[in-house]
Amino acid sequence: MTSLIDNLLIGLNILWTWEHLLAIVVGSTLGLIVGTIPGLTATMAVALILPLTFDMDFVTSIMLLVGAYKGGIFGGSITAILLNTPGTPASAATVLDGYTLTKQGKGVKALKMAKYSSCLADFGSDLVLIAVAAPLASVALKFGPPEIAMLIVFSLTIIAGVAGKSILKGLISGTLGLLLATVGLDPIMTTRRFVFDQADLDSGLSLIPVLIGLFALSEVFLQLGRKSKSEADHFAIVHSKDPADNRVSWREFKRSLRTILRGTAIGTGIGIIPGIGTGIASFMSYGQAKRASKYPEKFGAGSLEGIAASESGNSAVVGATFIPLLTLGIPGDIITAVIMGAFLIQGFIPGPLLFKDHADIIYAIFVGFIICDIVYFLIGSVFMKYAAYLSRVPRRLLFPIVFVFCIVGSYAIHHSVFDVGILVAFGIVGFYMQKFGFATAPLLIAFILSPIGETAVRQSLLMSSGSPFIFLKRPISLGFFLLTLITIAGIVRSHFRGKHQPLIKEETK
Amino acid sequence: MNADLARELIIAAAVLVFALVVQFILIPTQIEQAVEYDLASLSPAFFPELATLIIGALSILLILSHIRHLVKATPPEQIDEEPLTLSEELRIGGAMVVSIVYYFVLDYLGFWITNTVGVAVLLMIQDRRRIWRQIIIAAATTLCIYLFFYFVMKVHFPIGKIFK
Repeated sequence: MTSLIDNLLIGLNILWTWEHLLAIVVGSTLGLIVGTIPGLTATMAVALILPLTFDMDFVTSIMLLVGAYKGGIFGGSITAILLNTPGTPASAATVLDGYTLTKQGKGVKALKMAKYSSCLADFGSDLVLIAVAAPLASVALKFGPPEIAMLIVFSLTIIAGVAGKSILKGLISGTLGLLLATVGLDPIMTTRRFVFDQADLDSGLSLIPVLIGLFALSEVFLQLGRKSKSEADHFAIVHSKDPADNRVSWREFKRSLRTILRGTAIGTGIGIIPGIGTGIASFMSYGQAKRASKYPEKFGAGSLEGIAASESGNSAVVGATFIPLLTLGIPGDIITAVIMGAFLIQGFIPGPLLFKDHADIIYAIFVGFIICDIVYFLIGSVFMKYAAYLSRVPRRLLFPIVFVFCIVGSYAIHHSVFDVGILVAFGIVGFYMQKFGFATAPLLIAFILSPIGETAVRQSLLMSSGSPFIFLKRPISLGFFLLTLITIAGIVRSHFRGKHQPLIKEETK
Repeated sequence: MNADLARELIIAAAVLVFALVVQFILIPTQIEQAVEYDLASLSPAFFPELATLIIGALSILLILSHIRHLVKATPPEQIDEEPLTLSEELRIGGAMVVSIVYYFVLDYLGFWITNTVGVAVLLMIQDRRRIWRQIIIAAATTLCIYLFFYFVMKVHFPIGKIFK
């Protein structure tokens, strides 16, 4: 313990220069801006900044990138809450309650809860990174294809909770997500599936256009069509003048604290497993929060706990993804893979030797993580103040502009006009799905989860020469299998008792 | 039979038809059958077939649940709380047509023209007065977004095939 504190103090001494602190501020600000724009992800922010870091010293460059990563993940929640437009896939679960609260005039309250839970979870995850990185990384190494497959199957049980008014329609929506995720080259044999001779489809349907189409563009269509029925209706965002609707009270925060801690644990757990990602963590955290909540019926109807769950889940992934990177040299996700590039360019090879040879620098980076949390909390507060001015923009002006951001965000990922077509198609599909009572969240969850799941299932079967018992022979995968059975039994039981409460009260358009 | 129930039955039947089309037309024609594959790795068609089978089974269950409502003369679960008016439906349809046309002409006309015209039309769908103002707003929006994305985000928009 003493040596840890000593190391952190040495790290703080190295970090405490204006260049390093400026790098954190600039990185967090850029990340926030990019993350707020629909379609532009934290990955993009980090990738864009990377070339700028080549001539910087190592700690400055890493601080700039980490700031952009953290800011980018958090920035996605702002438009998710205010405009039903998740800036990044990580914020997809935040729209479920965030936008509902905005429609009730409590957008600022929702933003504040998102900020508190994001920063707190990020901080918690950073503490885990600092304290127990090495032992946790060895646990993550035990996750082979069978464990990942069962983790994904367990995660799919969330669909029952976000199914909307009709569980059958929710399940159809989720299964449609499974089907759509199979478009493109087969992950094992690379045979083409549903590509209709379009080379653009070989890599499958891009997640970003699908996400923006289902959530944002479908909402843009609805808002462009709706006539203003009252004076207040002229504005896209309702703003309550009641101070209680614009702040998070201590009582409300305390009620969500357990959810934030749970989300932090789930996000950290998901983060240390390479290749899973923030989107899954936020949906998983949301599902577990609903199951554990005393007020499950409020989820989807504007629950602060829902926002706390989603935001803590996705933010906690950030620090944890560095655990396998720094301790084993394995990047936890695409962003850490980009950051690993920065390590290598600067002549630092991530892995166990890094702690031995450059412990002072590693601890400087650890301290930088904590300072990043404080900086993006402060910048986020300023940013939210300006974001709240969106409530003064008339609806007839705002939604055509959001439409352009949807188009540009989808195009910018691969510089592909084809992705704009996917966006438009999913915007229309999303609109009619909601109109006919099919929740869109299950489709998105399955679409995100199933490519990882399919690959893991098929790799597992290859490992076992076709025997499905491989999923029951390994303790971690068996544990997830049992958890899945228990969850399904609980859902079926509550359904037949008439107690099934959908996580989202899907609006019928 | 009330209108809501009829609509729900049609939706469920449409889902069933979709599943059948995927199973019997799309999967055989759109999934390349590998000459040989290791049985352990599963066929590339396995997951699509499984998903289609589940969709089909769920749609049948949906139809049966609606028939149960019909027999018991109870309303279905989905009831339009605030249905859209015809003019609202038309405006939404208009916005969808604008986005479809946007996609098809983007490559040919480029970002500048497509976006300015697209945004102007979307603004006009909502307010047909002060057309010049709408066009100026659309052009200014296009310019700002272009400059930000081009210079800051290094995104290069299509300039249009007809201008090449």
